[in-house]
Amino acid sequence: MTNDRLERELQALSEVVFPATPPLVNAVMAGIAQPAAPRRRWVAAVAAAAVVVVAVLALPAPRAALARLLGIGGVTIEHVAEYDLPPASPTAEPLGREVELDEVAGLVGFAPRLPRVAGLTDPALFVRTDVADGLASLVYRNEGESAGLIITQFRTAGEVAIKQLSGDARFREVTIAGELRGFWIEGSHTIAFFGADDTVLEDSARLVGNTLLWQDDELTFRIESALPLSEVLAIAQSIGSDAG
Amino acid sequence: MDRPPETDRKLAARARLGDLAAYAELVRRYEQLAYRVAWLVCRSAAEAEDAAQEGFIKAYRAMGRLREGAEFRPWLLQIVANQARNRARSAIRRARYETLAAVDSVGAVPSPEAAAVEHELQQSLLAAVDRLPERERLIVACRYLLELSEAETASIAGVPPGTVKSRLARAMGRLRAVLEEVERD
Repeated sequence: MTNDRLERELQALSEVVFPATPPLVNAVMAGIAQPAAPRRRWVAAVAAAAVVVVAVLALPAPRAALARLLGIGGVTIEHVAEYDLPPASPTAEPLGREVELDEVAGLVGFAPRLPRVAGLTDPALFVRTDVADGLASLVYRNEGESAGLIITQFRTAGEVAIKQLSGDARFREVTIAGELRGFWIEGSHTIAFFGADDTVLEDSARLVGNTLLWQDDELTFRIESALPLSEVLAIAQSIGSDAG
Repeated sequence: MDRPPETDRKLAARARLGDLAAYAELVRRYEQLAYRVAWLVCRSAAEAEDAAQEGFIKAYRAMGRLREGAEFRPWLLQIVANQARNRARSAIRRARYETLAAVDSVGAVPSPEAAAVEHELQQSLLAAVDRLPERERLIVACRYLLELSEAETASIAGVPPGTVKSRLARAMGRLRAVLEEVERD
């Protein structure tokens, strides 16, 4: 079969694939007539009220569907029988190089948002510039009373990272600060980032534990930690409200 | 004599100055394409309708950021795709997921025999497209079902144009293999 023939067959599918288009003009023009919602003030108000809602997904969903349906921000989540993105060697530096806080914005093009919760020590800052538009990670080391966690932030520009869930890893959908949708993934899974040429950066692949993923406008966030969900959500909320 | 339709650029320039009639014309012109892009991304008729509506509203409010002389269509479609992508994250949507292969009616064809062959081919092709990895399926659908340009496809998928080419080549190879098998049988 030639490419031309295949292209013609594919073009013919457009007649049968799409649902009928509903009329949109009136609804759009009515929407335009409404004032834009003052989103940030609303976020701040909700955050002040400390509203954290957790919505549990009805699990299990069909695995085949999960494999391609899930994702948030720039992260795609796949359910796999076996990881085909094996973790990189222990000598790899998946988070990149350590930098000072005031260097980060110049390297990744955005100012990293810091959590505002009591009890966290100062983070170490790491940056990778070979991932999409750049990746910034805040590493809070596990010291004394302070729990360890990694907060990674990057611009939501297409598909930036891929997570593979296998075995007992489970997820649920959560809502942060009342409006930001996120996923909480429990159990070990892998993450790997895509480079500029859209191939997986092998040295970025690693096995990770419980993770909260969410998107806020142009940024995607992930928190990796052994902390319980309630504490991770509180940290996420303090980051979300930073935009208020 | 009828006047030729105004170009997108002119309509967008008027809309930027607050001309709602001009923007309504742009909505009419692209509602089907926007809806289809949204549906490809979120695979739910209801979510696609909302995403397309939101995309048009968001685009209107952001008209000031559309560069002078820049094309309206790819810019709009990128906004709509982003809206759809955000909606596609919804867990609720999963229950209403619509697969391409679920389509069970095909267009009119000349004879029952030809219809059966054509139907089988279409169903096989739909199923094969549906089985493609998400990142390839969207690109195939944008390029061939919606006949968008490589640049538009790239902006909707959020990848560089070179990636569109490479994913397309991989996907077409897979689809060709499936169809050749169907035709052999």
